[in-house]
Amino acid sequence: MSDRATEMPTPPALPTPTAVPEAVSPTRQTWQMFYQNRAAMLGLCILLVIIITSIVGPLLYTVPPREMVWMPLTPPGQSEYLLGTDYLGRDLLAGLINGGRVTITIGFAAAVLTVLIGVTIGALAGFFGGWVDTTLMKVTEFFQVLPNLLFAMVVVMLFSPTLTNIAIAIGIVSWTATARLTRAEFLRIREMDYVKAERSIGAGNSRLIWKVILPNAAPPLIIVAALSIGSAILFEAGLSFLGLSDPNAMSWGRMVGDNRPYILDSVWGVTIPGLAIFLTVLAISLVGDGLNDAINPKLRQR
Amino acid sequence: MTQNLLSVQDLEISFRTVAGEVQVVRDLSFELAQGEVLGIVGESGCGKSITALSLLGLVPNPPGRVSKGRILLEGEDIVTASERRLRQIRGNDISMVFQEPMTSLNPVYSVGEQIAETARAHFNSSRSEAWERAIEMLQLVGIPSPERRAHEFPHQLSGGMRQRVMIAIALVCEPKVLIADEPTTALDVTVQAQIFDLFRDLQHKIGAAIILITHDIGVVAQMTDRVIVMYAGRKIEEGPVSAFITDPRHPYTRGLVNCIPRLSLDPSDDPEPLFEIPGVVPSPSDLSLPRCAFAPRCRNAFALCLEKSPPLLPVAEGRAAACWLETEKPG
Repeated sequence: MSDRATEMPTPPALPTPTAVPEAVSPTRQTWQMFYQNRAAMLGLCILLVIIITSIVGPLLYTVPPREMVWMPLTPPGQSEYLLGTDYLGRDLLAGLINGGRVTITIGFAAAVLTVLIGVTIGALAGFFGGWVDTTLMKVTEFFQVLPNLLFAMVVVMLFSPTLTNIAIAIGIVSWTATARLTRAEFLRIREMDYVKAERSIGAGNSRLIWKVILPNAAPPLIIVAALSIGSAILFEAGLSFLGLSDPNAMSWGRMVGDNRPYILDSVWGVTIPGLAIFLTVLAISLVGDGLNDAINPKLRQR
Repeated sequence: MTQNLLSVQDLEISFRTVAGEVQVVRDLSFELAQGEVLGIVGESGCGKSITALSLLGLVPNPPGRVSKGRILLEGEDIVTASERRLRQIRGNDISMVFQEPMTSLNPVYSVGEQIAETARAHFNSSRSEAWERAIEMLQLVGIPSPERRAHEFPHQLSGGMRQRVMIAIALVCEPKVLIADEPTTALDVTVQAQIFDLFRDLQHKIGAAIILITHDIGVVAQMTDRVIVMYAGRKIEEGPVSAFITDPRHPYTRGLVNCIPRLSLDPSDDPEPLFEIPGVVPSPSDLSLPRCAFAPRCRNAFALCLEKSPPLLPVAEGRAAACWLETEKPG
């Protein structure tokens, strides 16, 4: 009571600091939005299961994926090998688990490469404009008019079809869309007042590009990056299906391709790895769409 | 004569257009002394803002360039300085507060980070030192509970708060010259007054010279020591602020000063209709004619005005005006 008495003479208090809402960073807001999106969370869960399985799976399930272990073309559930065997009598489950590693690694590596090349070229073109822009956009157009699959096949065939080369080939043919998007974002943001303001207090070009404009251009780029993992996986499947895969590694696309001639004798040989590809790409799309909803400030108003 | 902090000599800024090269600023010279507040006044499009940008070496090039003249900062020419040197000058020696506080802050960083980052770039201080400096600056510009506010993002602050943050960013490196390009145009009147109080307060504390660009004569009267009036890229009058308000010499300046509405408490007092200057600022490409640029809008124009452009001549102690009426009477 005596405390209150001594406080009495003080003038009416300013709004107490607790009245000020806690600062919420845009990153955390985005995560909250994402967390509330059921489809996106489902996608994320599927994706996590697939990734964890392909990391841990081969350590737990040690059947070698490229060795004949049973009668060829055994249907699922008729042997100790849960998903049956393919046309050479190789275990499909082992193939699925080990192939997941390869497929997902290539998907991520190719997407990283796509984003690296695309963002760098788009950023430089959009930021500097003029002849830099003209030259880089001509290069981009050159890559755009090349038929993607054919060009990737040429690259893989010229060099040996190792995993690294396949990832590089996919990256090289698919960066153009990212570059165009990045350039468009840079052209827009370059003219913003805060870029001018940063320049007026002495920010140099590299700071403006990477620390001022890029973070502001990031939302659409994050979505494109996420979705490009999905398309890289499909691309890899396509190449493997055509026989352009690392002969020393099992991948889902290769499983589909290998088992294709025997589709009438064993549907599961192509269906099981095909489903795996479908699920992975679907999960990535769900996550990508969820990110889009979470990041896009217009949708956030709802 | 004491060494002036900033000295602009015969500045000419040109822009390349489809119609050829046009001069948006011509023959502009002025001096800025330590701790002085200089007002630059004029209508939209008269070359105020581009002059301000040229002081930072930020004239958009192409299409613009400084085609003539020198800008000396303590004797060093900014026009010919290297980009690397310019980057040191920006922020450290000269910094700028822009017109639009709503869009001049980077939306993805908290305001504290933005101030701290500037401090770090210029002082090479550690992250925590820079953060403390940021909070100190927020305190200096009168933001309540700065430790909390420093974590907030620009969209969480009001316009006046944001302009305070902009000022904090501009002042964090203790520049010698602060350019304020219509710093309160986007703010409402009560906040305007607060921001100007802040400017004056900070000027006492930090001692920076201020160049205040505005078209608000009231602001000029309150804030500045000396005024330059620009019209169509030229300086047409210069003088101490009191003389500028009470005894404008150039017809254009007279027009500007008469444009201020006056309040009257007497209901029977029927004030004259508010004065306006007829016409609009000529486009820079119309200025190739050898006449006074203001002549088409001037009610006192006579034959000589349409033949020759008047030079800027001293009309009184410390004052100059570019008008034939001051030198040659119509005869």
